[in-house]
Amino acid sequence: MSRSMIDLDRRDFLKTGAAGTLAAAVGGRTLLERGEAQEEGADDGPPYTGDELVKTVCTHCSVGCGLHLAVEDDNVVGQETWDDNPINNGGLCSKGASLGHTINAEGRLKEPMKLVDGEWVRMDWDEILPEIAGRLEDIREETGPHATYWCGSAKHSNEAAYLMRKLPSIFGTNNIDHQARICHSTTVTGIANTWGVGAMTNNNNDMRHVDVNLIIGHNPIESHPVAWQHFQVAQQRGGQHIVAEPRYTETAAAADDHYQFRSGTDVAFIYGLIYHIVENLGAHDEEFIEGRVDGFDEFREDVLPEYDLENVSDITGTPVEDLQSLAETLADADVSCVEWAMGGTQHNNGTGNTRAYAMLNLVLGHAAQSAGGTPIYRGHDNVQGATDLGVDASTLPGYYGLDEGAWSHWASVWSQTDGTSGEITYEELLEDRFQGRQELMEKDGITVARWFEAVLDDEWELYQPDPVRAAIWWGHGMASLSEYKKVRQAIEELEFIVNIDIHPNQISELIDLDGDTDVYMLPAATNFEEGGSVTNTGRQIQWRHQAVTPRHNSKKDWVIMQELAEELGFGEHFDYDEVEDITREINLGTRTIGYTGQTPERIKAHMQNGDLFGVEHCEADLDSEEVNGVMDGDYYGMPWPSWHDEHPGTPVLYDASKPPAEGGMDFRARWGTEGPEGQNMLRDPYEPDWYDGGEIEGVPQYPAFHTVLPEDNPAGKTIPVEYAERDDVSVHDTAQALAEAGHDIDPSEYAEYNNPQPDSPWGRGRARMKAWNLTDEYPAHREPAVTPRPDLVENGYPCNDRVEDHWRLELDNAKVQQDNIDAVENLVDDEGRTPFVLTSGRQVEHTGAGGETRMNESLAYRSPMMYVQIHPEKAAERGLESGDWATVETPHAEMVMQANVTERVPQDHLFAPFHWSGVLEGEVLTDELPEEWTPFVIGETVNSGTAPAYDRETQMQETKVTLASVTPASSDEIPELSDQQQSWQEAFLNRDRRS
Amino acid sequence: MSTNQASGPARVVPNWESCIDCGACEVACKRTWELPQESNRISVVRMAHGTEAEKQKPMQCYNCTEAPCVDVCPTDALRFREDGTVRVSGNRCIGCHYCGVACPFGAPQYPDASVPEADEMNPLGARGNGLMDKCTTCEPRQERDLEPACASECPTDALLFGTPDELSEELAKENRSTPFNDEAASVVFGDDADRVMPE
Repeated sequence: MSRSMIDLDRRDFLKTGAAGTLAAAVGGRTLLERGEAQEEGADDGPPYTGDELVKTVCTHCSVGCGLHLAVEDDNVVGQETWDDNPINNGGLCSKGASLGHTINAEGRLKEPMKLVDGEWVRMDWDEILPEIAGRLEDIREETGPHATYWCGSAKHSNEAAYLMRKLPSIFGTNNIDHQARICHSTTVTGIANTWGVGAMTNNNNDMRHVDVNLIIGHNPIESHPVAWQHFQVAQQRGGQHIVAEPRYTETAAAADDHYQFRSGTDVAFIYGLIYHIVENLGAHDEEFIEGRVDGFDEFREDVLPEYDLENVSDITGTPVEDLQSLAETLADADVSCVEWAMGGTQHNNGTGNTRAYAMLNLVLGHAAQSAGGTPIYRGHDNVQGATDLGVDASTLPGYYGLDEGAWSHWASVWSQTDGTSGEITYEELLEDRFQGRQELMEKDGITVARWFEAVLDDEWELYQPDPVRAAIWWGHGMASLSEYKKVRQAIEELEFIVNIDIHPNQISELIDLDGDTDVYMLPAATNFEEGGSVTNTGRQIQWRHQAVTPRHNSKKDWVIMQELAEELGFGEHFDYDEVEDITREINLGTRTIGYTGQTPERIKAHMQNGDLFGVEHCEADLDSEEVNGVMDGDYYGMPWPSWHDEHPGTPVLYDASKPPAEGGMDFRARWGTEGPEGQNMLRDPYEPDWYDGGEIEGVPQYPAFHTVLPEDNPAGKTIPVEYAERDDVSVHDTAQALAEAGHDIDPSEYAEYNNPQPDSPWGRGRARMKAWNLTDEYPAHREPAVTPRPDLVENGYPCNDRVEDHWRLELDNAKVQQDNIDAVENLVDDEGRTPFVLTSGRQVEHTGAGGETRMNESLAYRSPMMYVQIHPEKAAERGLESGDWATVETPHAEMVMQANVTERVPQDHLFAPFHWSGVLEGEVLTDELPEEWTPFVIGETVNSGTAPAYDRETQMQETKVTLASVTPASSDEIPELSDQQQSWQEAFLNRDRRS
Repeated sequence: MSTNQASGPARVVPNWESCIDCGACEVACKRTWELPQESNRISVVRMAHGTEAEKQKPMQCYNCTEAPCVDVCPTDALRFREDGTVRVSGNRCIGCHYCGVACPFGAPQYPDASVPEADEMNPLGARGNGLMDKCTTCEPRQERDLEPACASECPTDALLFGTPDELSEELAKENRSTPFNDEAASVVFGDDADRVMPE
């Protein structure tokens, strides 16, 4: 693509001085004036500066760091910082700094391939796609679309993720899921069931304003390092970050305090804090609770008394004085927030954990404000977007669900959209696409957490007519799934599996070359080889400008989807001309959570003008001359909800201290106006400072705000969206206007809500302490399935009982727990030493299952060793030093890992990172791989040994706690690593010894 | 042999109040210069990890005013240039490691990786084949008014870049300090040490 093709129409937003060079900015690309040094030609050696700088966003974590890629002759030759992106201010971590190595990696999938008679054979795109489509159609006709499994990706752009849901929807199945299942599904369900939607209530920059931040089950310095720049500012201003978790992590060392508790006892820990706050300190915020929260009294009477400090101390292992001191710190704060990630979510009662965290914040009255609420940190770069756009077995895009209303809504969107030529009705979807199987159409599909059970169909009951015969795996590393050995078995039983990815990933390691499963490898383009939007953990949406064309013979994800849809016979629903057309369809249809106002033009305008957004609140500087009214008052990235194309975005959720037109709102009135006991589920009236009209009352969600579609402009205001924001009309007025416009609304149902006032379409509801629709109406402490405290299981804290048809599978955590009740005894080793609690987590250099980062030379070099962290005293008992091989045995696997001797873990815990594969119970899996498909560094997959228990609501996997014994490995057990990996490991071990 | 420069060259110095061992500096350096992985021109040194004394500091060559490496080099491969920077010339270096022993900061690297001869002769190019390689403070980037890649990409202001005057201002700010004790500071900054280092 030559420079002359770049769109020059956006000169309104030109800026000079980018990156401190003479530069002309055009769209997302900056053309560089070549300095003298460069005129000597790029042959002189590095640093290569390229002809152009392209603005983009890192592909790794959900902070959403902006950067420039330096491009020359359609090649990425380097990187430059993007200093005025308000989120990261130019900063990156090792992963963001190595993007060029990922894009240009030798180990990328380059050509479409099929495994034929144990050999990888190259095929053309126009042979392989029809073959795959043909086989999918055969299965659809012979058995049904439910016999297929689709897994999408947290790394897809919003546009690709949206199509990732649309494709299987029209193919005819809900068996579609992605990494959010195993990452924050418990957050999404838990928090949505507490105050409206399950997302980070603020954003990275708001962390600058922290007064007291409880970080429970998150290690941001490792997982979200660049965000820490904002956390540091808070500390400089006197704010405190307090880490509560089993390990003394990197974050604990940099934080202001550290409290320890046993992995898997979060609910008890939090309830102990609430107990002290309420019963001893009387520091709960009665006014806030009275006015905006439901269920506190019953909670206090029926649930809390059991969690007195002595009991909690026994369960958690935390001394009573520590519980008291932490509770006091939180109570004394002007405002506090509770922050978590996988440490909190990945448990059999993970939904309970997340709810408990929010309940703590509600009790203190610290919710719904800046530096308050719950700064929840998502994982992958676009797991937020992929979740929002419904790559989820339980819902269509936008959390609409799977009932008839949801399908009808999306049928309308897919018909009305200007982006495609196709039209479809609900009847067509039901009768033709779902073959008339309404039950399956409206039923949660199979989750990615246990997809293998639907293939194996042996140990657990399956609640769909047939097992899964084939799977499409689109950007997900299998090593992040627990029961990894079953994953391997399932792959062997499939008729075929398609891996659409940048790298061959774990499927290439697990596949038996002599087996019967057909394997297709389709090369996908990276996020830098296609344009598209991405949503970070702060709900902010940015645009990745395409830097270079797809490498080798890879294709953009959305283009592959388009072509596959064509082969499957419904290409008319995917025939978009440009990627922005998909964004506009998202704007049109995703009205529940306000993905409407973030049009491609607005998103790109924000990217172009990062310098106009202040770093304190990400707000466009109102005094700046250049703003000229277009972005006045916008928040960077228009964090959703943005209800229409003039709405600035919502940086802090539920913040009632701002007018709705400026991003203000209340708790979502999600459960109607009355609870099951007739209690009022709307907030009490109040008189905010920003309102001259007297009282603002509690109101329900505005009728049909999420289903009425605008006529022309996909991001335009509809009646309910417009009326909500206006201060001269009421909910009742809205209902009347809708009825007059021909919509099926009965205004009399809204008669009592006749106070003209400005609101968000979510109404003004209450947060719930009690989630009456969940199995555990209040969170409860439940022992891990594999527990060091069987006595607690017998004395009141077992896992949930068996349930049928849980995402089409039988789930029985109680049975798994009983089967493992003697594990703590059985794992006592020959020397009589008791087992450890084994937990797992992240390393800064790697993301996810490591399929991408372990193929990146810079990252693999810096982190070349899979390890198990063990306390020095315990290591000494076993004669283990850092680097020595050890057998780590859980009830479910006998793994071989290298020791990392450190005081980060307490004496009774172990920690292992999950980013590793290539070794399975000591067996090296990569010997048969073609050289270019072999990762630089390999290691044991800890998820072969983690517990086979799953969250009662979402089927989140319990990867944070099991039991393990550790013994030195015998020499014949030690897997052989490559010379290069061994030499890198030596450097790695020596760097720690040097100091 | 020290320079008479009043203000000395621009240097990158570590601010160990805020380093979080994210590795951006290491990766940015190797990427920018296409260095072999073993060439740790900048490297985060970890201290007492897992204990209350836990700390880390990104370390590299500081083009010391009183550079010990220049003093001990037996072949005169290490020299001061006019601007006060220290450079090693590939055709004189014999890879004896004396400079590595003398340097208080561990800056000299001796990557084994083979590097084309042309690169070795370039004073700013990567060294290999066992010869000494070290940070060049990204001189070609400085010529374009850009900061060294490491300081530029650090997300937490753990690498401060500037002339002695500029560093003096930076280090006077809150939550800024270097791991240099008095002796180290005078090796790096010479007579400027008192002016640059905060009290």
